[in-house]
Amino acid sequence: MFSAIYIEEEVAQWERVQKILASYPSIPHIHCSRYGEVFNRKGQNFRMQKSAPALILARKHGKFVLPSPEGYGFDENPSYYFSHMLNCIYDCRYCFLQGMYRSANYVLFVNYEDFAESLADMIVKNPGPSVYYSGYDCDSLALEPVSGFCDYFLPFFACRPEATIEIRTKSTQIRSFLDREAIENCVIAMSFSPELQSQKWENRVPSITKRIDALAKLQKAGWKVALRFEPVIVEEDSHLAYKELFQHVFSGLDVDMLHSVSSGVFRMPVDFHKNIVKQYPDEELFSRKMELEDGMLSLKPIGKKDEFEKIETSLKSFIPEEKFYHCG
Amino acid sequence: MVKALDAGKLNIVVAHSLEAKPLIALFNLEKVTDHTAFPIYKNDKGISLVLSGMGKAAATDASNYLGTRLEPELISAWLNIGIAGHRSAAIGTGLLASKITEKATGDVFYPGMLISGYDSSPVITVDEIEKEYDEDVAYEMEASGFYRAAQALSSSEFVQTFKIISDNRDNHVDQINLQNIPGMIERQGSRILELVGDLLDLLDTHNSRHRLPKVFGYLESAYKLTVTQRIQLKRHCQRFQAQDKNGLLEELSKKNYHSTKQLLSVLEKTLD
Repeated sequence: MFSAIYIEEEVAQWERVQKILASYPSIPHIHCSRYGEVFNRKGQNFRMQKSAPALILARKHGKFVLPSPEGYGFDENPSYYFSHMLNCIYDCRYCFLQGMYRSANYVLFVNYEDFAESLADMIVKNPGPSVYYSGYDCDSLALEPVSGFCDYFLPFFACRPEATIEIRTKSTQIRSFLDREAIENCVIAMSFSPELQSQKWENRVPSITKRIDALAKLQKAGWKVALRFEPVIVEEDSHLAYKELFQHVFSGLDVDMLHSVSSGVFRMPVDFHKNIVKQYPDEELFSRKMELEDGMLSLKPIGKKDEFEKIETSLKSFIPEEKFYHCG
Repeated sequence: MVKALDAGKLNIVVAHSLEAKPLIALFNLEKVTDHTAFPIYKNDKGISLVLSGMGKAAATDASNYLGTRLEPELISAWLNIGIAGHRSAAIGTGLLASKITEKATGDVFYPGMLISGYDSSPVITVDEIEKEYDEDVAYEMEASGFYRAAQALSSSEFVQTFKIISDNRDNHVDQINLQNIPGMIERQGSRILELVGDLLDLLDTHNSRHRLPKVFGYLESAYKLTVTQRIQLKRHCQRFQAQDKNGLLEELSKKNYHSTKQLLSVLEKTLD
């Protein structure tokens, strides 16, 4: 699963680390002082590393909980994000992480207790409802068997009902949820793209059917689930592919029980795009004409200009209006 | 004088002629220069070898010297091969460096770990021969110097160090018979061939993704380009290729344009 494991000397003897290392005895275990000397060094090739990433076990310092980016959330309450992990085991060609990091190795911050302390402080500072997103810099569930993220953080949020955690994912690793009682303030948000786009760009991601099945099981067990149709990559007659996707997804789920449904168009900071093009000069997606607005690049519309509106209109026809929000 | 492009797809840096001798035979290399400081050997399969001399500074200089002879646009792989001491590893063991620490400065280098199936070890580069074997690692004298130069010329995934254990606590460095060194390297020949094959496979994967359409070379020579225009032309050609439109690019390249600006404009407008 990993080509090697790098271990910060500071955490090498921690129980959580020892347990992970014991599960992978036959791959190189390499000690380092700070994760940045492996992860942030110059002269790395993200795309080549993606074929066999290493795991880096580290202690996070500095800020643990950050305000969420504008337009990211589903309600008006204060919202934040936290990242116990950097990078994702999936390989989605449109993903901004390819342009954000120099390395495709996975960083797992193992000091969950420090995250919990900062989250607790933030929850106290925000009396009333607040939202905490996990899955901005990684897929929070995909590495669950290694990280034990849910096993640690779900009980934490269960004791703090005023704070909602949204776990954004494309993973079907749902055992941690099914093995415990559902909690009201946890939302599992699954992202989807139409079948052909998924096959073309979402490498290693479970099939749409498997993801719908996972969500259906979660709903049945009482967990709140949400749907994220992001990033929408608008192509000729995309609304037809999306309509087919919506029919597939909504026929497998209890629409009334859905927490929320959102859509958002494919956008990316210009610097990230520049970095990605260097790694993927042969990728058709990034060879398309782009438009720049406020430092963000988006694809120049192909075909009719109202294609994205058609997609959102179609989406709204499947769900009650109050469950929908536009992201971005 | 060294000919341009004497550097190969894979460049091997070796300190001592006793280490180089079996590698020259293994890869059928021939001497291409009599440059006194850094003799270079190469074959017709894209493998070059430079003899650096002992020590990390010499390894840096030799790598940089060969680096000036690289083919532009494409990346090369680099491999340092040599003997090393180790506290516990058996004599003759071949080890891939997982981490290289320069003892004098504390500088640390992490070779990419994409190549699997080889025993690995941390390596410490020392200035004086290590006789105590304090840590359970490989001790040698060139890896950090080699890595410092080679990673600037390539990417860490394509830069590797392979050490063959010549001495350990039970077989002390003072007892090494230099005449045994070629034999030690020779006995790792099949492993070295595998390693070189793996590195070249990785490199080919990378370079095939970055290879430009042939017409780029023609346009580059046919039109006067500023640095910025050259970057634009390169990107346009990549985009044509990504959109599977090399045929169209070739057709467009045959037309006469009154300026580079017009050429770039036509290419840009034609792309989706």
